[in-house]
Amino acid sequence: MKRVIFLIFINIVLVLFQSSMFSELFGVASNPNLVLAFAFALYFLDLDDMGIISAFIGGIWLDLFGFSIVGISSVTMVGSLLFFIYVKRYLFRGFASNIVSVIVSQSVYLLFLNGNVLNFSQYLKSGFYTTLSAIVIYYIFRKFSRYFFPSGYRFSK
Amino acid sequence: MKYLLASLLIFILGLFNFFAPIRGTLHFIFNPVQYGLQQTSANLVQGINFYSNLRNIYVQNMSLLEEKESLISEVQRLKDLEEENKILKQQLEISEYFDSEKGLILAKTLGNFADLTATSVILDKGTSHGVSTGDIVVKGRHFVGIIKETTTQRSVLELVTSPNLLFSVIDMETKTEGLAKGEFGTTVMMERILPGELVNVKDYIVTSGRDGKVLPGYLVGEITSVSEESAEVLRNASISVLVDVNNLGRVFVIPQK
Repeated sequence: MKRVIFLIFINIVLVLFQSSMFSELFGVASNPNLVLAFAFALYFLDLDDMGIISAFIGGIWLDLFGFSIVGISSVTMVGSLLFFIYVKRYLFRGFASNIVSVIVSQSVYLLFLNGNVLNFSQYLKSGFYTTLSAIVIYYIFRKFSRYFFPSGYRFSK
Repeated sequence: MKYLLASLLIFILGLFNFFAPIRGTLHFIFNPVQYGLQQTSANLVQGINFYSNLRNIYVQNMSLLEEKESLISEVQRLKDLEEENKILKQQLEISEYFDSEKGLILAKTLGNFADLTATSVILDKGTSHGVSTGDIVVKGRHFVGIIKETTTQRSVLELVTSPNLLFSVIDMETKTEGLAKGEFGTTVMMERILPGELVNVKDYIVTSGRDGKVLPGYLVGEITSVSEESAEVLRNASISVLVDVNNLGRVFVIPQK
């Protein structure tokens, strides 16, 4: 229950920053998807369950704050994360696979949200910035894990 | 897997607009927060641009001071014309049939993070404030766009630079009419200019109101280039929008009803 409440609050903050601040600072085309980046940062840390819950909650917040159909972001982000968890468990693991997973997930998400109006370089650009954000969040969690989680919580299995 | 199923269920409920009251409440609570964050970032970006462009700003400042002087004399001339117009109307007993300045709704822009084409922005006013789909949005005498979608607390403004927006315009100097269509970014294309019709660079283009969609007399932009004259083909002219669509701040919605 505590981690769900933590994820609810952190995703509200991420959605507020993504929708209001970062789109102005970096431009709409380069705006990283912080919600997806956070979910994938948890995926990088092998916290797959937490990542799925975060993608689910964050997707709903994203849709409620925006104008898209509520649930579409959750479906695409949770679906992408489940797919890449399967890939990680049974096919490929490693840094390159993690990068590709974020870029592909963000591209699929943008395709569902914007339709076919964007070109390939826009997908790539958005995917790149989202991947960068995921890596930054991952390193922040690794460095400060003992402040965020009680001592019984371990990141690496 | 259960979260995917839950998301699908929420999506199906979302298709029937089940979450409209929750969305309205969230928008009502977070509108001021999002506007504050957005303005903070906009000010930060402006500050960074200012310091990195000091030399250009100086040159721009000098030319603006010169332009200001000529505009002051132009304003004086227009004031004289306005006075003359009033007297003539009184003499001919023509009454004002429409006052477009009444009933304006002030709205703040919140950006639109979901639209990567940057051709729409979200406003913090919706149907509960009197905004409806099809209302036009202006900033001063500049035409900014048309309301595309509404909820109770927010609405989506389709900008003048959107390729989905098509409206009739007229050249203020030569009275040439055409159709304007957005080109992504800060330009608008004036199309369907008949061969032989005159359109010059630096002419101001305003809405003509002929399509019934947009009120007449609102400034769209200034012509920056015209396609080559040809006897057979309809010509185009590129219009540079004079209002900064990436930093609108506050705008006015003119309700059509």
